[in-house]
Amino acid sequence: MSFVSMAEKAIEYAQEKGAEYVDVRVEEALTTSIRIRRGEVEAAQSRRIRGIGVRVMIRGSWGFSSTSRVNWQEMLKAIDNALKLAKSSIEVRRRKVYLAESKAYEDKVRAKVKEDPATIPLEEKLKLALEVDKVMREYSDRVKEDEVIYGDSKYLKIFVNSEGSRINVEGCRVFCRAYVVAREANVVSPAVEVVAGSKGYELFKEIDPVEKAKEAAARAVRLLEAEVPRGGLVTAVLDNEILGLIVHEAFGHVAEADLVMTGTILTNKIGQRVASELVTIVDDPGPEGAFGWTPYDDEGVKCRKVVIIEKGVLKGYMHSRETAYLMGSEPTGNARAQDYAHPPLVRMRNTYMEAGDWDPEEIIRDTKGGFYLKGGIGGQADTNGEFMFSVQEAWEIKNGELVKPYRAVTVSGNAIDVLKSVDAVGKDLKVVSPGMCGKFQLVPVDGGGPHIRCKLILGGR
Amino acid sequence: MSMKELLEKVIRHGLKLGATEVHAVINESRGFEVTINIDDISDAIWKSTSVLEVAVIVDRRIGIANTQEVTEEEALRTVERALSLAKGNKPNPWWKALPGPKPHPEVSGTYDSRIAEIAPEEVIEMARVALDEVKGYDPRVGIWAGVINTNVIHVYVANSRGVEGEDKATSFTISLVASAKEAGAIGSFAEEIRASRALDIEVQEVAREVARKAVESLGARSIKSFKGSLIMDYYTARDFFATFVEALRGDNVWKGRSPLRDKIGEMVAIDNLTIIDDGIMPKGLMTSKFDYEGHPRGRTPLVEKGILKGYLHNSYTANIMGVESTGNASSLLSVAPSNIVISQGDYECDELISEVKKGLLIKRFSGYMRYEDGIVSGVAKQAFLIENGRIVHPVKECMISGNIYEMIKKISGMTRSRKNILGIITPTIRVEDVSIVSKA
Repeated sequence: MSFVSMAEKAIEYAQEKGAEYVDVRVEEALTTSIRIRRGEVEAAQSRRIRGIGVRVMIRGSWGFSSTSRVNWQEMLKAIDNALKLAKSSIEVRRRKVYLAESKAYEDKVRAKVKEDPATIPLEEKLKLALEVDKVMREYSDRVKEDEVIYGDSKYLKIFVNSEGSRINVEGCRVFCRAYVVAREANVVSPAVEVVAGSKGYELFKEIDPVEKAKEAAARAVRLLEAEVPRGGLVTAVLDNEILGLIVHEAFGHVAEADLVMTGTILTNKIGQRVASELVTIVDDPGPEGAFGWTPYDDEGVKCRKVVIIEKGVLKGYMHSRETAYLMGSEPTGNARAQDYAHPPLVRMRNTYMEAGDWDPEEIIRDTKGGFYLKGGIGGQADTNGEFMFSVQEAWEIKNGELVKPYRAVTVSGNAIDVLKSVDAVGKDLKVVSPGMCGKFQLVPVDGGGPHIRCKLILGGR
Repeated sequence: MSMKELLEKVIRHGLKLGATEVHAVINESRGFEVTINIDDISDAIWKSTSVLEVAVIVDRRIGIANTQEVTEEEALRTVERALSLAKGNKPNPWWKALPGPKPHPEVSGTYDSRIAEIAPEEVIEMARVALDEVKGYDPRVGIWAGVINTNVIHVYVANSRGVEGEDKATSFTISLVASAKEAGAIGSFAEEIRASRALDIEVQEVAREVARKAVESLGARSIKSFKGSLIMDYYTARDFFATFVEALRGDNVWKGRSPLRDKIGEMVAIDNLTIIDDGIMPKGLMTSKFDYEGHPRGRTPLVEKGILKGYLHNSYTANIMGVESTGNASSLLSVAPSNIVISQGDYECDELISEVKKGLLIKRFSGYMRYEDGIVSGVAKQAFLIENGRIVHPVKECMISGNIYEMIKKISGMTRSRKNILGIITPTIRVEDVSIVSKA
């Protein structure tokens, strides 16, 4: 029995047993992951995922089952359990589930891949990862630690539901992260570079991870000489990468409808000004090749661009069919699951600030005093908009020139205050902040924006 | 075909294709999970997974492949993927060999057929009981998040040196996070986690306890920074000892990452502290017949009366350090503790508090504790001020900082009673001279 026939049969069976809505997701993926540390191959693994996930709804109550045993007997067991779970929760649930209307689609989508990673021999991938490691390790004897993580994944996702949708998505992702720490006396200077996308192995010919790793090592060593700045509220020019991180972490999560309903800084603010009128922020299923590329979400909704903020005004949230119903909106295609064994949740895809009309170099030249912040290493944000991130590299700007580098710089503030302070937006939009986002489940995402200028709190001494 | 036969086929296939050694393990897991979110059922899930993992070694080059499609055809393809990974890999200069066969111990109390036969309605009912009990205890309290989980696992292991084994186990876990609201102010989150191998946890009791803890956090006030006694209740003590034990993992010791390397025979803690890794204790949450490599589990004294006695090993790290494996393999190259048992003290909880001039009782810690350098840095999310032997009031978030390797030598009291928090059996402990910094 083909996957699709098994899925259709499963849906029929569930409906006979009383399910009002059913969806079935079948997923197959082959991934390779390599981890190198200080010249040693710590892990080299191949992983094959395959399974089916079923969601059923009865009188406003969900039941979800998954199994990696893809045969009809197991499917029956899975559906029976999902139905029993749904039925027995009906009286216990306080809030009934309703789904917003969504068009059914029959579609087959295939990501554009030039070099299928499954056809690249492991020796070549190992060679690449080892070269990335070597270039960092051998850059300087002040490089004390390094780690390379390489991953690729080829997947097929099939979605079938009781409303007539039949969607196939075939895609591919590649990922290479180079992390390095330089040390001298008491000074510790980390740096990181990531090359990743929803593309085949050809991405590594377009952007050379070895070159990027060398940049990271050079930066880590260079910044050993730099000082830690004095903290305070400053004018800051942000590069595409750190803006991408902030947009996703500090701003994106608080626009996810499920969190909005439990209370975030954006709750009940549709139509209100939450940023400068130069700011437009979107969550996009593309561009094609971005790490969070998602043509259809895991509820079979055709993904569309969500304009979260338009010229400073809050326009909309990111939705699943469930939250869209509750808030009287259209589904947006933001319901994503880590894999077939997890029910979907509201998640971001590729979240970025749209381009403005400044020349990025002009923004710096126009700045009398402030800091130029490049790249982020990580951080955290709260639903009340408060955030804190570590910046990879900062330069003091004096009269339009970059005069002095600083290290160990952090930035913090409140997402809305920072966005309201934006007074220049560049025209150089780049989506260059790929990563894995965790919110009970891991999903690949991307982010970015152009260079911008704003005010935020610099942390240092 | 039985799983045992499938593993035999896998090993034969690997050897036939030129592998020096082959290791294979099958894990089957099936269970229910009901999640609670903001006083309501959020997800009701049943999950069934099988995974076959094959490790192939060709002249010290290791390749690992796994698959969720556990059929004969796919199993053989997985062997081939592992083999090609091995051939493409660098040789591991420290690799000696997979372990040979040794008799496995009998273990008891790890499988409860009631869990294997539990109906979905019963698990939903437990969620209902948790929700009702919390509201019934005190209407100011709500469950912010909760998970109730039942699971059955079967494990099969075999290798080309003749190791062979089969084991099964069940688990039942309830975890609830609650907070109380009064006059618009929300108290800090309280949490309660219980886990067992049997269907013997009373949901009402867990719900009542988390509600009680949530209410006792209402009315938190700021305090001034000070240095004094820190009483870590079971949850925080668990994190503390778990971090210390990370430094006793053979893989961390060998790689030079552990500050406790080269310290066997030395005093590393107070003289009445004993820490044992016990992989075979009856009903133990981490008890099993064998580890990832199929090597028998056992009891390993790690710290005895404050003196470091040994480390945890798998065959790989044992070979490197010239000792025997302790049956703690979590993979071919890495080590993990099993059940960790901390010695009892001789205090009652009240006595521990009554001796404190000025201190903090902490029930929930959020931050980090690192074994690499011992740094403890984070926020006491649920804590109480103690003054002159009595609890005065709940405290608004404050920062705790210190160093594990110093704190473990400054333990001034431990309780007689212990709790099993996810596989670590620990008393409540009191540590002196801890820096408590107010966030205000």
